[in-house]
Amino acid sequence: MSTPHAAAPEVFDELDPHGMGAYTKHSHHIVSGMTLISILMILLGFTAVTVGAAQVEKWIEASLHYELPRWVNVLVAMSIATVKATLVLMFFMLLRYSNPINTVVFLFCLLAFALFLFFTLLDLSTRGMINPIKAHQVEAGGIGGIRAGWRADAPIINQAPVVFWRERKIAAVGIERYNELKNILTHPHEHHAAAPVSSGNLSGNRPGITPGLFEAAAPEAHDAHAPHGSAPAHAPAHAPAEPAKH
Amino acid sequence: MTTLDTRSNPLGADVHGQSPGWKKYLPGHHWRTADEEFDACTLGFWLFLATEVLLFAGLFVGYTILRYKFPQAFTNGSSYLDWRWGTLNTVVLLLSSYTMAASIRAFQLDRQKQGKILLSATFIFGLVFLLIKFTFEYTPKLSGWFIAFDPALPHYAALVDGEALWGLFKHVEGYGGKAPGQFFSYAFSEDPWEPLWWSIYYCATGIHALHVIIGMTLIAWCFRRAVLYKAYGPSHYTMVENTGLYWHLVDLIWIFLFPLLYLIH
Repeated sequence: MSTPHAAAPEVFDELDPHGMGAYTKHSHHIVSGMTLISILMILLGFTAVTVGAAQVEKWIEASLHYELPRWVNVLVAMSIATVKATLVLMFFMLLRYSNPINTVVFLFCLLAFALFLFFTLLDLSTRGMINPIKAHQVEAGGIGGIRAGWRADAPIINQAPVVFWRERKIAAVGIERYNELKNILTHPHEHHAAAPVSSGNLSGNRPGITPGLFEAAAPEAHDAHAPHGSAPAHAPAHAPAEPAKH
Repeated sequence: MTTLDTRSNPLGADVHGQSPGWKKYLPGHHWRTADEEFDACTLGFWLFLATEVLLFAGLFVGYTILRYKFPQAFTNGSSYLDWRWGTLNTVVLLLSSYTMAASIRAFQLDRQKQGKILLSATFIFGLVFLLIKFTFEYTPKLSGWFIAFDPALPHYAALVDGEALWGLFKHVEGYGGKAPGQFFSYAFSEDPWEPLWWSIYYCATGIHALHVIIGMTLIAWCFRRAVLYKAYGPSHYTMVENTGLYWHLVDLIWIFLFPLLYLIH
């Protein structure tokens, strides 16, 4: 492909002092106002769709008493987000009109992200193939051994902070008041069924952890005060039997 | 299709005695043409945006690992967030992206006043985003202090145990302490791994909010240059273009953060 020789300009152009326009000058695209407004409307529409989809998923789960697999939520949300992101990139960030090298840069960046995510998921999803224990988290006790607060002189608690702060609150206000507070404070917006057992307990072998530590919302000892016959708010419906071996 | 031609905008006379910024702008002497300089600046900025995406990629992968390992902690944690604030903030950011793109268009067409109004609108939308985030989300969750007109406050009316600044702020017993990692002190969690959710939530939204603040600073700077010496016009608008790219990236990140944080169940 031959490159045209730069013709001597008739009028001296300050923005092209060397008369190199034939090599590097181009026209800048101005997106029409109508396009910008339309893209905004489409983006707002997709926002409504993604919120609606999440509500529909919740409605299906509540009315059919069926828990949708987690990937449904992720796949639907991420597909809509990808469409929205593409629109923003093409029309607001002008990739559709600008130098194609910009698009190449961005796509290579996404490729790096995809590799990062792919190998992470490959690792996460295949840990159980050799040793089933490793399919789940192996460390025990939540994030234990942290300081009880941000001050340098705060005591180090050798316990999951969730348990530490729960015990502290119960000690301070008593179990009845604790349950009252909990009823008002927990899940104010949606009343979906909380899973009866924590994910910590759904894991496999957790050597070293106190058995049954996370089984109920409140420790068993305190539930003795609850009236007879009434199950605790988050009683484990099908708590797995604690392994006998220690 | 409207196109720009630098040749059709020769050096002009001063307008109202002001320095006609963009008309006087000349490319650096090491560039052959102004367009070559524009392309190089934009390419450089896209390379920077790639590093920004990779910064957030680390957060998204961290999110993936923790949600894969502790799904219940994420479901519980997300249920403390109100999707209505998240949706409102998404709409605010989308509107701000629109005003940003429209302000670049205005400067390309040398509509100085319109461009400045749209830049200010973008700045104000950014401010609204931050105000919503800090007033209705961060502050109550971290400290238990609600602003008096918070629509969620009536639900907790029975638990109000203090007020400050002549009743402008009200404290709700037990609500606060939903903080990341070792700052966590919320007493009503149902999952031992919920502090991890809060770590991801505050890292992701906090770094995003930092980007909003940086973007607003750049917009304010663009605005100042436009007001002081008409810095942008048809043949030179590189800075406002790159500021726009940065702002759209902030919007882009939020498009993914919003469903991942607010819409899981």
